[in-house]
Amino acid sequence: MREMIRGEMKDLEGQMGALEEKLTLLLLPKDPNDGKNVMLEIRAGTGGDEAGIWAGDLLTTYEKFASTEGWKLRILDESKADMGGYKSITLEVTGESVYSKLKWEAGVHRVQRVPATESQGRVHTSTATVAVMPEVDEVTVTIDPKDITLTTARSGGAGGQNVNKVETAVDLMHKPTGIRIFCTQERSQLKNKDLAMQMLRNRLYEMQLEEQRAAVSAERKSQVGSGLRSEKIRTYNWKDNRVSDHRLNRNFPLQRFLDGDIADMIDACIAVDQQEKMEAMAAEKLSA
Amino acid sequence: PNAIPRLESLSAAAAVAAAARVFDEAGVPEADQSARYLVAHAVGRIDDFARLPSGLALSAGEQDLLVDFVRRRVDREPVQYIVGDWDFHHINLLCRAPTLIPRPETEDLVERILGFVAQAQSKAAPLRILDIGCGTGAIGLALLNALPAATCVAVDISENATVLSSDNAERLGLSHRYECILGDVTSPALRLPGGPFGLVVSNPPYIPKADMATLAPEVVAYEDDRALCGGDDGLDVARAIVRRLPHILDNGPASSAWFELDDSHLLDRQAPSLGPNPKA
Repeated sequence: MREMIRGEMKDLEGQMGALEEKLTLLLLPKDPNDGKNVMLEIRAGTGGDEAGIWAGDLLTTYEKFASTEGWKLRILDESKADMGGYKSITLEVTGESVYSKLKWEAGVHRVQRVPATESQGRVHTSTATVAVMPEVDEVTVTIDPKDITLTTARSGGAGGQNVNKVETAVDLMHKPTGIRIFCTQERSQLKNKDLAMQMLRNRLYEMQLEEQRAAVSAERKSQVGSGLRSEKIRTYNWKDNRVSDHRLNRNFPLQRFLDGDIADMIDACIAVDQQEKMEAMAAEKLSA
Repeated sequence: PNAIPRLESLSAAAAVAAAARVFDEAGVPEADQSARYLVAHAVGRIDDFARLPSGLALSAGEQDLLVDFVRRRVDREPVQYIVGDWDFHHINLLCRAPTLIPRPETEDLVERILGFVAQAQSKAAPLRILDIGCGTGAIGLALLNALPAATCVAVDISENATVLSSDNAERLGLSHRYECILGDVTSPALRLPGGPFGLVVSNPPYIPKADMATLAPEVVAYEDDRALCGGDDGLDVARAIVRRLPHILDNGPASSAWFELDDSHLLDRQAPSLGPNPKA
């Protein structure tokens, strides 16, 4: 009888432990942007042509990952690089929990390999920057119409019934920040306008977030990094077949990355972030 | 059309370049844009027109289609008629000659109306809309799409338009809230069912007669004159509608009438004089 009771007690203690952990996790401060869709921007950094190709490789990985996550991708803007890949490319990623996962990809990704364009077998180091911007609505970021100028194909010319043109591009300029967005991809001018405004909102919000990140990072040393755009988060080394995440101080197999299988790397960041938050909460309780 | 290479495999990029060259040489405006749309349409990917994969190969059948599209565009047929449908506001509309192709300015009109309605009443409140000179159905259908509790009566002088706008209503699943009748709003005999209306809107023909000859072939050779020419000062039909307003607009506090008109109708940026308007 005692055996049975001891056995049950052990089980219950185990369950309690698990429940406590679950509760603590639920009580952790949440990132309010976690559930949002994102605007993902990949930009070639240092390294000339190879940087552009590297930006294209990152895109391929994210496309594969998005596919396994069941996310949808839509290209919003792209500037192709002459030797392959992109000078920059901006995509909309929609689906579940997009920001909560992709936010760990923000920062500078460094590659060390012999580029396709290299004739003498030398290893080059190039970079690409990934920005992950949560999509925000008009309530979160309100734009004063006085702050923007919108130019269309029709601006200043005859219009309406007098003309039938198929050029519906819009050129949106946000005067206070100088942000300029050129949107040409929709057949409806209104849709181009709406898309340009959405992209502007996302970029303005991202600017606010970068300020917050800089402030937080000055206050608190986080292992998983500041999330600042300029932070070097990973190095990808072809010769050694590995991806080194500088925030986690861990290596991962390069092949996984090439296959678009970045779930492990992301989960590891999430785990460390949760751990840090739990420790911070515990420390607060102690000092209270 | 002979200048489009017929190849075992023609890439989208090469097709766009060839078509644009043909258009340039023929003096067709918007050569590059036209080429992009028509190549995208030939491969069945019109919505990817802005970034067709440059290496995408056109099959023999697709090349044949493209040659036909290019020939029609060289004859200055509007791209929207060749493609057969176009995006307007947040809907897609079938476009068929000679019914007026919806313009971006009219999207703006729809947005202004929606802004006004949002302030004047709840989205869920029923609203009876009258669209005069409906054409493809653009204005009425875009409003119905945005206002789930609204209904619309549409009228047009052309049977091409009444058939087309009904087809569009059907295609958009809005037929149950949309009724289109054939009629001439300048004729006193016209009876409009389902009134009075809380919102009257019109994009009437508003081009002054003298300006008609200055218009591009895309407009003047393919779109219905009756949708374009509004008489000497372009205001004949607008005036006829304004005269009817007391009989078709309801007495509600938020009733409104909206017109799209020509730039030439702006007098120092004030609203033009259309005659006594009973509603402020």
